[in-house]
Amino acid sequence: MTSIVKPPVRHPSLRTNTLGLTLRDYEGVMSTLCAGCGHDSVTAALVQAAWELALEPHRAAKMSGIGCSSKTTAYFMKQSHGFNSVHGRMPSVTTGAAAANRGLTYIGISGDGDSLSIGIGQLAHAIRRNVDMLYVIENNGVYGLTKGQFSASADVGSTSKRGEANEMSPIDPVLLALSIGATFVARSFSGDKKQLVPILKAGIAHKGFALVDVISPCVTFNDHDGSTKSYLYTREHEVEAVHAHYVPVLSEISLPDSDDAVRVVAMHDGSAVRLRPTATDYDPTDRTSAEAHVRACQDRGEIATGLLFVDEKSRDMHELLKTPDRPLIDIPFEQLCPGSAALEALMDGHR
Amino acid sequence: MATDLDIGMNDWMVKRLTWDDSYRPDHGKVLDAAALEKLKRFSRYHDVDGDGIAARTLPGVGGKGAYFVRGSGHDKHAAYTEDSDAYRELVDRLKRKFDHAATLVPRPAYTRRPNADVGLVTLGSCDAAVREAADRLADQEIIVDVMRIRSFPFADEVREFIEAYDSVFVIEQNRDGQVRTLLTAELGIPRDAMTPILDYGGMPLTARVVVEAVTGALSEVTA
Amino acid sequence: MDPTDVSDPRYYHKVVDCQWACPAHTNVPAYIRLIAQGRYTESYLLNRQSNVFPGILGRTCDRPCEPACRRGRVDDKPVAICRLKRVAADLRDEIRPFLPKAPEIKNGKRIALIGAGPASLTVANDLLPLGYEVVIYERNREPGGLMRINIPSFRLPASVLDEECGYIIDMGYGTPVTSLTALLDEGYDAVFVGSGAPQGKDLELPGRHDAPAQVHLGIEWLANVHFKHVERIEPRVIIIGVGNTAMDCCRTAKRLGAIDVKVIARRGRKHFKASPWELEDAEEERVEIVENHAPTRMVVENGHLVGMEFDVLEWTESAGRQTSRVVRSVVIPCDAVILAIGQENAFPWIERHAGVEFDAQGMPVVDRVTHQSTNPRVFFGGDAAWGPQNIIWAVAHGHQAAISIDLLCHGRPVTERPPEGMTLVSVKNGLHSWAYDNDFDPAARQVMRHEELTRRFRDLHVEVELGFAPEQVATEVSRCLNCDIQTHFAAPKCIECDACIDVCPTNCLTITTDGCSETEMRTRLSAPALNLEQEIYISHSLPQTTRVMVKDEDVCLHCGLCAERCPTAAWDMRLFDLLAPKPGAACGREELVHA
Ligand SMILES: Cc1cc2nc3c(=O)[nH]c(=O)nc-3n(C[C@H](O)[C@H](O)[C@H](O)COP(=O)(O)OP(=O)(O)OC[C@H]3O[C@@H](n4cnc5c(N)ncnc54)[C@H](O)[C@@H]3O)c2cc1C
Ligand SMILES: Cc1ncc(C[n+]2csc(CCOP(=O)(O)OP(=O)(O)O)c2C)c(N)n1
Ligand code: SF4
Ligand code: SF4
Ligand code: SF4
Ligand SMILES: [Mg+2]
Repeated sequence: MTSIVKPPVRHPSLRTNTLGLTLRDYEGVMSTLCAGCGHDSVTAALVQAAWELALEPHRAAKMSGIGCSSKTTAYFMKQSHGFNSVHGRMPSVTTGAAAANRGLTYIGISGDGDSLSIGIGQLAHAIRRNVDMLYVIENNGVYGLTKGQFSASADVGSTSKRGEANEMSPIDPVLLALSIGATFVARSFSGDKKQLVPILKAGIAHKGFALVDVISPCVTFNDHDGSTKSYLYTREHEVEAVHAHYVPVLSEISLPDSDDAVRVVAMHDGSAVRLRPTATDYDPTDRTSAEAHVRACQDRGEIATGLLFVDEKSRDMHELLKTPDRPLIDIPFEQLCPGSAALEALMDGHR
Repeated sequence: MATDLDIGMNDWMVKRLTWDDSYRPDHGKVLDAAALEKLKRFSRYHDVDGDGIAARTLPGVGGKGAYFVRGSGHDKHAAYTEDSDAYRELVDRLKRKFDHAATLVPRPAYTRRPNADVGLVTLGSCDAAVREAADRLADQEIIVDVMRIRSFPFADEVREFIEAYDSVFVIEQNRDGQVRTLLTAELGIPRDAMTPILDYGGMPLTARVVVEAVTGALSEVTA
Repeated sequence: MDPTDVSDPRYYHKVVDCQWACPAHTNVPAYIRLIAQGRYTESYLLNRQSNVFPGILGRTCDRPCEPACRRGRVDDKPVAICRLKRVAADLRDEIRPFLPKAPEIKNGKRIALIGAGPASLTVANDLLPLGYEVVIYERNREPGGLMRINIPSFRLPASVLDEECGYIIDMGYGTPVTSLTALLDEGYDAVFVGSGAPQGKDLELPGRHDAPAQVHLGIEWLANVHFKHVERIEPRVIIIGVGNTAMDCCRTAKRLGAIDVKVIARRGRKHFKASPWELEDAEEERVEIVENHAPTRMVVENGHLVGMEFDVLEWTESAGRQTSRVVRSVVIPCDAVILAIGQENAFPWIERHAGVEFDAQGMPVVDRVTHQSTNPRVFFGGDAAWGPQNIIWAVAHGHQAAISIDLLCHGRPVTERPPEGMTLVSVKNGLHSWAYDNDFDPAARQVMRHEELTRRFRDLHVEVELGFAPEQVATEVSRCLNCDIQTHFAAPKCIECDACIDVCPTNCLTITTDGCSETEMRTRLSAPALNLEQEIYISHSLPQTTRVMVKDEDVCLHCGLCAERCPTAAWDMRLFDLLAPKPGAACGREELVHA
């Protein structure tokens, strides 16, 4: 834990976004994570992304479970509501919140332990429901908070700090998500904000469940020589499969792109992402292609990163469940409550 | 509860339900955007009026209303803290809130017969069987009163009821007498002042179990 | 790009903006920390090492450090560096036991110093402890130069002057020098000319000499006030000029009976030479400041001055050049005029054959670094060298001249300047614990307390500034950002986790690909480094990606958060201490050369 809070001084040339807020207005409280933890860089990327998108802080809700990663929600956007739920339960809590108030932007932060062990069932069903949220997994291959036990994302052969190797096969959240119908799947690295920030922005703009798996090294328990989620290992094995560029307003890119390889995906809110895959046979708007590509990378010992798959035409939870088009808080009680007549009718139906 | 199967597999009759169309929910102390504007700073867990209940906000309503719900130690502003005094202040507030809640929750339902000297304490789905047992005991000229606890924390009437009888039975469907333990822990009533009647065979409680337990216990005393 | 060489003391020195801007390189942050710890005597002595007159300067310094202060760039107003100096001076204990002593056994070299102003006194201060025999020639009875006879005592009490001059000399004298050659003939090994710029500039206007008793030259008049030759002035006074002298004249006039005092300037306020705080102080005393008036005539009736005539000007600026137009002319009635339009040098006592060359303007030809004139044994410093400046420059000159004299006396070329040195020591006490207070205090600059207006005018000597109250001191010291606690980077340790980049409150840090020009790199930092006067640091290449760490020093708060959040201690906070060259230090071991 740092000894002081971050001084409230700003760089004189710090710019403001369309809401008149500076980057620093999107910060949270001082992190209590270990110095050098990848999670703090993800925090910084989230601050950057939210500032660039000019998200209204009080219209966003930060959701998390338990773990070092789940503490991230306290470290950005201090003017937003935050909910640090029970271990692995963030997907369900967010599903509930999103059901009640569809007007807010939901930013969920979890860890590989939180999401792939105790919370895997919850995660899977939030993906199936296509809850409209950004879901970031800060993936370090260990349970950082409980002192570095292997998590379900640990690669076979990866060693713990003490030297013992993991022998159980890993769950890759990207492949998991692709296989159960996720509509936005990306992977990035905490040490590469150039790649991460546009992905986060696109994930927030996406209507539906946006899963972003971020390799986020644990400096304390998983940044040693035998680790496959260290800064060095990730840098040496990362291959950017798709480069994503986020374009705030669609009109700016209405010009036809001269480059055939670039795919422009129009997002629901009028923005767009331009996707440039690095392999010619890879189509990031095709689920089968994406899955095959990620798997092939894995077989070569590479970590495929980038915005790997996006399907902007799918229906989200509210469309699937045909819920009202407004947050419940905006619907008058008279309309929300069917009243005594409806009750009578219901009881008669059971006679 | 082992009665799940019984409840789930059989049709149960209830009285016709009613709904009061004039009902409007009371959300308690919820600050809207205008109220928030007037505040210098919103503090989620700050007890302004001493009832232990701090005002809350709904997400998305006003910039000032945001707060962070967390499991780790926090202060009245919902901010992370390792300061013991700040933390103690919050835990003490919860105690006040709990005590205050006892005055607001549903009162127990009970009978008070002039000549009763036995009290039966029960709750939930035991109620019907216990009331039936009370009638059967009356047939044997054992006059009892029945109290159905309807809420926790316990209202004052719970203690008053228990203290009014020479013999008190606590009827519940578990092995350990959990309700009796709570009554002892919360109200300080001596354990031995309450005789447990425990039923945990997996079937719904019947009046017979209660009648036999009460008559057996009373005859032991008189014998 | 070549990585920055931080082993050159100049790099870190430049980061300590105040120290860099101070002509005598006073170690400001270190003395402020000593004040914060209540160690006033040590703070005073540290000050004295570089600026020799902390008590005097703590009241009168022109403070070039304050406009340079980093705090002014990040948070409105600079630290009140100057007035904190006074705090150390006011609260110190007896310091004589800690002062260097002149040794009993002398080194056999005799030095003459002309004038006992701050320049000469500094030379004496530096050379006496080395065993030099120093003789000071001064025409006034008391030392201090203009500090004594011109700076009014309501700004600088005589007791403060007595004390601080007394630390250097304890002698009764009053010998004017009338001939340089005579002095050189007395066999001095070196002569230092610190005689100042003692002559007030005159203004030749119609009527200037028609009522001589009512028209004064500013610095002469102030000297006359000091010597009590003047004790009253007429009720309506006009001061011509808006420099420091004008400010002292107008405020002194107010104390000698003047009721209506006007300071008249040719140009607009932003062109005034006087410091803003001096103008404020004068206006607080109800002195009227009149802009854009050019004097044309003194109005004298029957041998009596009754007013002064001015052209009212309107200034226009085009292509950076100011031109004026006369709008009309006015007569401002008055009973006395003080001309405070500048000072001039005068060296009537330097003979043409003394070997000291003079330029067309009548100024001696003096080397900017060594202070040597064309006569190798004669050195100049203070206002005497290049015209009027201020006390702290006089002190800085004195130090450099002392080094030159020391070199000369050791038979070494005066151009062989001893190098600057530095020490750089980690201030890490433990995990996230430093040997300095790194928390940022958002407090505003403290405002100096002043004596009540009515009380001030009772007596010429009532000091106006009361110094900071203890709470003010506590607040003001905590505003200093400790710029001398440097962020020191070790590239081989960095794992490029970005923690430092992310935490920096002012976006000073960037990890980026190396570039080929600094100008280009300045544009692609986390926040563009626009202040070209501030260095950017470029590291050696980083192990994992061969990128480089770049730091813009401009708005670094020295909060140490980069070092706190760095998992590998690649960033460390290190205390930089400049080892300024001193006479004796570099040449002390050499045998003295006997002439
Ligand atoms: C009115 C006024 C106010 C000022 N206020 C400030 C201020 O607030 N802050 C600031 O930093 N600066 C101020 N200054 C400027 C500052 O006083 C001078 O820059 C500084 O004193 C110069 O120091 P010095 O050692 O070069 O010479 P001086 O201080 O001028 O000392 C020269 C000495 O040499 C003596 N001398 C001259 N000729 C001879 C001779 N032939 N024989 C023997 N002795 C001789 C003189 O009597 C004098 O004592 C002010 C100046 C004036 C005029
Ligand atoms: C219900 C429950 N089970 C177990 C724990 C203990 N626990 C706390 S954090 C954690 C794992 C966190 O791992 P991960 O989500 O990867 O977060 P990291 O700390 O690595 O960022 C566990 C098992 C808990 N807090 N709650
Ligand atoms: S234990 Fe690991 S995951 Fe947790 S804060 Fe420290 S470095 Fe980050
Ligand atoms: S903040 Fe302190 S150290 Fe930095 S320039 Fe100002 S006075 Fe000097
Ligand atoms: S915090 Fe340390 S290791 Fe991390 S990038 Fe900065 S200097 Fe490098
Ligand atoms: Mg983890």
